[in-house]
Amino acid sequence: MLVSTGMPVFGSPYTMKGPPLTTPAISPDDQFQPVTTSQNLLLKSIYFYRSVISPTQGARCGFYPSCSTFGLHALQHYGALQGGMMTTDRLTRCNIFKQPGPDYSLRPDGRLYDPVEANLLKKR
Amino acid sequence: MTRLSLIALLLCLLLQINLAAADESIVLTGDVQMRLGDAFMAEGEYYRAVTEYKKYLILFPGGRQSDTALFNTGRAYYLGLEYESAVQIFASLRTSFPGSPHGAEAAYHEGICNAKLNRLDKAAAAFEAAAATETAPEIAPRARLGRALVEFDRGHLGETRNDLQRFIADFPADPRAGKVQTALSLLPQDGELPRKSPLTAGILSAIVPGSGHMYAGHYGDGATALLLNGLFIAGTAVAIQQENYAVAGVVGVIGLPFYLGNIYGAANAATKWNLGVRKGLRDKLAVTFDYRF
Repeated sequence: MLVSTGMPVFGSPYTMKGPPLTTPAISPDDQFQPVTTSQNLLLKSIYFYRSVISPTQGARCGFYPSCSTFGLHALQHYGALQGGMMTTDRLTRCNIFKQPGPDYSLRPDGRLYDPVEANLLKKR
Repeated sequence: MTRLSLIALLLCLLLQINLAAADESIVLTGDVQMRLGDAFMAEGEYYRAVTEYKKYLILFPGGRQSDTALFNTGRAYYLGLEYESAVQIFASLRTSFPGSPHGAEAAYHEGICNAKLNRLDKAAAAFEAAAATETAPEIAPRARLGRALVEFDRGHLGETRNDLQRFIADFPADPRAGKVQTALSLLPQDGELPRKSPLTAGILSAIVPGSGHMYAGHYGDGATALLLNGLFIAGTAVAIQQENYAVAGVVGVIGLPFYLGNIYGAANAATKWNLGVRKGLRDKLAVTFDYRF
């Protein structure tokens, strides 16, 4: 009991046995507090989509994270203006022409990996 | 007589126990301690290997294998992907044991770890130190190639060219010399990679939605942006023409973020194009001279 609870993170398989084989799980921050009204409005519209519209047809987005998760992340981290532009850009890119290549890597589940951080104009 | 026999029997038993104990016991020498570390290394138990090598350094300070123990500690951290710790250990080895036979390899690994940590200037300096070491003929060529790739990542194509030319001059007998010559021909003559301007892409998409994406080689996204924004703009224009301002306002408000997103996306596409060109050439270089870290 003592050994199992006292096991330090330092010696865990993650730190000393290599990186995880799959891309990290991405989920929006549920505790996030919107700063501006426009940010709040856009976030609520995505929450509405996620809770009411999206369940009717199930998961259909070909990207990972999905467009709605991407939008929540972008709005939470980059504000209403940049986050909004990043979200609508993603919605435009979520078309029939998307394919694996230099821009997107293919995940084992067949979806294309496209995190918010890969779409910043700076800090690359 | 019986008493004597009993004493003799007891003595024999004690002796046997001692002999058996001697078979199972071991004297902890520096070699034994190092062997423990090596065994864990061989099993891929890098965390435990680090502990054993550090034990050597604690139990045998100033031991004749101290530099090896330090070097192996660094390697264990490196193989365990703990690059920050590895850099510190390799730097410490180079400072504490300047004449160590592991010096060149420590500098080489320090370069790799710094490159993994994206500290490209420090990586280039460490690779240069390893490449300049004359006592390590098997490390110096790899370090020179490592420096060439790091300089490429820094955007110094001239330095990359210099490093590859120095490789051919310094190591003409190396089996990779011919491949390095081929890699040299892949580098652009003017020292500049082809580039798409994110600003130009953004302006183009502001004038004609989707054209910036096409300029950046993302034709499918460009066509989608043109269609989507075209519909929003046409819808708003028709609603205004028919004096239906409420509909025009709603369509316009929904369409505006897509229009702004189209400009952002065009600049993003140009940035991705530039990154793709850089990454593509880097991969081609690494494959051509058969070296990567």
